Amino acid sequence: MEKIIKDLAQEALDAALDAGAAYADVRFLRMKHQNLRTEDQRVSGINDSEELGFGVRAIAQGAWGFAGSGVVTKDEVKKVARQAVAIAKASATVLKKPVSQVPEPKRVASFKTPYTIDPFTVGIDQKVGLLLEINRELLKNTGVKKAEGFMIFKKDERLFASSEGSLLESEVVTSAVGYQATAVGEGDAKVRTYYPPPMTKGYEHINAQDLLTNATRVADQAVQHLHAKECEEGKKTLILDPQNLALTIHESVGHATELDRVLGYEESLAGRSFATPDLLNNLEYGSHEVSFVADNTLAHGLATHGFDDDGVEGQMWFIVNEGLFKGYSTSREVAGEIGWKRSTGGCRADHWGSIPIVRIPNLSLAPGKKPMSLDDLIHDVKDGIFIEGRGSFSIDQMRCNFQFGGNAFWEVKEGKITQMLKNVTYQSMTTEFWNSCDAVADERFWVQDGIMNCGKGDPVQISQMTHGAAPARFRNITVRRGRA
Amino acid sequence: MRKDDAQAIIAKALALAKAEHCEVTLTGANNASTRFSNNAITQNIAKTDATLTVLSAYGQTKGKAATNDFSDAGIASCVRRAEEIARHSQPDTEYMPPIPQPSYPDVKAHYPATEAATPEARAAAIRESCGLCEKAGLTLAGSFATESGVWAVGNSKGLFGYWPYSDARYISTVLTGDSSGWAESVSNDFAQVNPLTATGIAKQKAEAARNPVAVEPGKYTVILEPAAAAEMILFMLFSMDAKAAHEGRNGFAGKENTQITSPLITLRNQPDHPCCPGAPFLAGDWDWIIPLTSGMQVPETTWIEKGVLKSLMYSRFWAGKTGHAYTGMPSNLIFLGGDASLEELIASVDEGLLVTRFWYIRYVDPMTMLFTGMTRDGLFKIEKGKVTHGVKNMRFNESPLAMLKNTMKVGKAVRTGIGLPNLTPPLLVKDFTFTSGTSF
Repeated sequence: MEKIIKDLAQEALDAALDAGAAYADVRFLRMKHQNLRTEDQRVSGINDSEELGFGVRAIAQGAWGFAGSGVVTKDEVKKVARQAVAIAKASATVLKKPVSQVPEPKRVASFKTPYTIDPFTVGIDQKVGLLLEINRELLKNTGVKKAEGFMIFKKDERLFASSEGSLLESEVVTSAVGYQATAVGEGDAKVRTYYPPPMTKGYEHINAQDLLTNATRVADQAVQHLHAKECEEGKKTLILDPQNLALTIHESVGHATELDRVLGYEESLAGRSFATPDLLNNLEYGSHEVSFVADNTLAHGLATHGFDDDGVEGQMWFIVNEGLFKGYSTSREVAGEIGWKRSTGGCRADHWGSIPIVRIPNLSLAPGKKPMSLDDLIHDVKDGIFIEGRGSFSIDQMRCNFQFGGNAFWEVKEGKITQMLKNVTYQSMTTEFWNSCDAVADERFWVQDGIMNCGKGDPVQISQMTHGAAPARFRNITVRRGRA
Repeated sequence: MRKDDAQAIIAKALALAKAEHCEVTLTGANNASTRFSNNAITQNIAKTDATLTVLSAYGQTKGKAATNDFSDAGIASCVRRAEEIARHSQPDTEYMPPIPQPSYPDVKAHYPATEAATPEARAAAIRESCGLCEKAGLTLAGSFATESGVWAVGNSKGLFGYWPYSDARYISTVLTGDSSGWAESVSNDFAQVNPLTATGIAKQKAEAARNPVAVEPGKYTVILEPAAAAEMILFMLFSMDAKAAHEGRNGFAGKENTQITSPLITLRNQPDHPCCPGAPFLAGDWDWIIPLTSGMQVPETTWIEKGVLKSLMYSRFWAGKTGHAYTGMPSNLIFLGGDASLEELIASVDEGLLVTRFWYIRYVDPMTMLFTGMTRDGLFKIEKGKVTHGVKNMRFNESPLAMLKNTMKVGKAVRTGIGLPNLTPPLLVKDFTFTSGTSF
C-alpha cells in the first residue's frame, strides 16, 4: 500500500500505545469486489464495490478492544486507535484473566496471489457475454425453464502493522464462476449446478473452465433429475464426490476444530464443539483412511493469504492423521490456552471493520495412498448412492448430528451406476460418519474445491477457504427421503 | 449521519450523473457489540461505516457501483464506474426506471439512548448478568449489540428519502455442565433492553434442563416459543417470490388465494407498527430475492390472512406483468397473536415438547417447503400441563406450511430479534416431525 497508509498505520499504533495499550495492531484493507448475475437472457445484477478502511485492535488492562472506520485521515486514525483502547478498558471490567498471545516472530514481508489476468481489467461485456452464452446453451434444452449464472471477483489489499514491529502486506485475488439449470414439470422443479472450484487466481481461472462444454450435460441432467426415481430410505453405502465432501468436511471437521469455539468463545452464536482438547491424540475422529490436512500455504487456496490477521505466517499441519485427532485452527490468543507454543495462523477478519476471529484453514481430505479410482470405489458397492455436488446442509451446534443433501444422486447396484435418484438426504453423527469411511480415491482424483460464504462470529463475518478431496466411500449411512 | 449531510452527498452524486436514469442510496451506521463467554468479555468492537451506491441505467441496461469514499473524487469515480458498467453490459429486461417522490409513513425507530450507548454501559450490564450466573455456579455467554444508522435514497426523478433507525439486542446463553438455556431482550431503544431479565430466563431454562433425557424421534405436539416460531416463519417468508411460484419453482406454486394454513394464522407487514417499526422504504442490497427500486415505499401487505395466502412478493416488473399490486419485500413481520400466555399454552398440553429455539435451519426441498434444523438451548418434556424435564436436542424435518396447518393455538406475540424486526407469538403445533437425536 502507499506510503501514506503506512504512515497512518504508525500513527494508529503510536496513538494506541500512548492511550495505554500494551499491544496494538492496525489493519488497512482496500477491498474491490465485483459480482455479476444473469437469469435467462437478462443481466439481473452487477454490483461493483470499492472501499478502504482500517481497524485497530488493542490490549489494555489485559483485555481486547477493537474499533474500525472507513474515514481514512490522520485525525480519524488517532481517534479510532484511542477508541479501541477505551473499549479495551471497558472490557477489562468483566475479565477473568488477562489476554495473552503466544509469541510470533516479528517480520516485514509481503504476499501476493500469483495471477496473470487481473479480473478487474477484463471488460464487463466479456463477462456478461460469456454468462449469457452459457444461459443460451442451457435453455436449448426445452425442459430447462430457468438458467442462471454468476461470477465473483475480489481483490483485497491489506497492510498489517503491529506494536511488536511486524509490517506485512498482501494482495489476494479470488475468482469464481458457476451456473445452474432448473427443470420444471409435474409439480416439481430440480436444479443441476456447475460450480467449478473457486480459487485465488485471476481471470485466467475463468478462461480455464469448460463452461460451455458442460452446459449441455448440466441441462440434460437437470431434466433427468426431474424424472428420477425417488430414493429408498435405509442404511446404504455412499460414495461422495469432492464437491459434496467439501461441505461435509467444512461443517463436521472444519468448524469442529476451531479452537475458539471449542473453548466456548462462540457459544452465543455458532456454538461449541465436541472435539475438546482432552481428545487430542486420543479420539479416533475417523477411520485409518481419513487424514485431514490444514494448509494455509496451498497454492491458490482460498485461505492462502501469506499470513493471518495476527501476523502469523501460513502453515501446514494435521487436524486428523490416519484417523487420529491431532490439531486445531487457532489464533495467538487461544493457542496459549491449551499450552501450545505457536498459533497455527487461523485468525482472520472479513472486512476492515471486523475483528479477526479463528477461521477454518484450507482444510482437505488427503487422497488415498493406494491406487483407487472412482470406478473402483463404485465397483465394491452392492446397494449405494453416488452423490455429486452440494444441496441441503445442517449440523447441530456441537458439530455432532448432521444432515446433508447433494445436487445429483446416482443409484449404485451391484457395483454399477444404474439410474438417477432424487430427494436424497444422508444423516449421521460426525465421528461415526468419518469412521465409516473405508476408501478414498487416490491423488489423480483429488479436487481443490472450496467455500466462499462461510458465516461465523457475532456480528457475522463471511470468509472463504479451500476444501480439497478425492471421492470417498462410506458404509452403512442413514439415507432419508428429502421430500415432505 | 445528519439528513442535510446525506442529502448533500446524494445531490452531489446525482449532479455528476450522465446516464438516462440514476438512483443513489446511502447507508451508514455506528455499530457496537460486546461479546462475552465463560463469564467474561471476550470481544468488544465499534465500527463506523457508510456506503454510497449508485445505480445508473441507459434504457434497460444498468450498472451498480459502491464506495465508502465520500470525497468529490470518490463520488465521481463511483458514478463513472456505474455508468461504465451500464454502457458495457446488456439489458435487464426486468429493470424498472426511477420513481417520483412517494409519500412515506412516519416510522419512528431511532432512539438517542441507543446512539449514546457506551462500552461501559454494556459492560456494566454484562457484569451484573455474569454475577448472577457465577453465584449459581453457571456459565454465561452472549452479546450486547447496538446499531444506530440511516438509510437515505435519491434519484434522477427528484425523489429523496431519509430514515434514521437504531437497534439494541442482548442475547444470553446460560450453561450448566449438561444443559443450556437461552433468552434475549430486543428493542430499538437501548433503555428498554433488559439484560438481567433475559439472563434470568436463560438461567432458569438451563437449570430446568439439567440431566436431559433422550426421546425417540417421531411426531410430537410441540410448543414453539416465539424465537423458534420466528426462525421457521422468516425462512418461509423469504421464499415467497411470486415469479418463482408462477414459474413453478417454489412451494407456493398455485397456492395464492387458497387456504394453506390453520385459520389462526395471519401474517402481515406494517412499517409504521408502533411496537415493531420497519423501514418505510428499502435501500442498499435488499434485491437478493426480487428486484427492487430504491426508494419505493414498503406497502402494508397481508401475506396470509386467517390461513388464506393473500399475496406473494411481487417486484414492480412482476406486478406489472401480472396485474397484481406491488408488494416488494417486507421490512418487518407482524404475526398476529392471541391472548394466551406461554404458560397457558403449556398448561393446555397433556404430552408434548417445549422448544426454546431452533438452529441451522436449511431447505431440504423447496417445492414441498421441507426444512431441516436442530433444537437448541432448551428442549423440554411437557407432561400434564407442566414442564417436567430437559430433553436432548433433536433434528426436525418439517415444512413450515405443515407446521402452520397443524397450529392449534396461537399465544401472545412478542418482539424477537430473529432476522427482520418481528412480532411473533408462541405456537402450539401438533404432529411436528423430529427425525433423529443428538448426543447432548
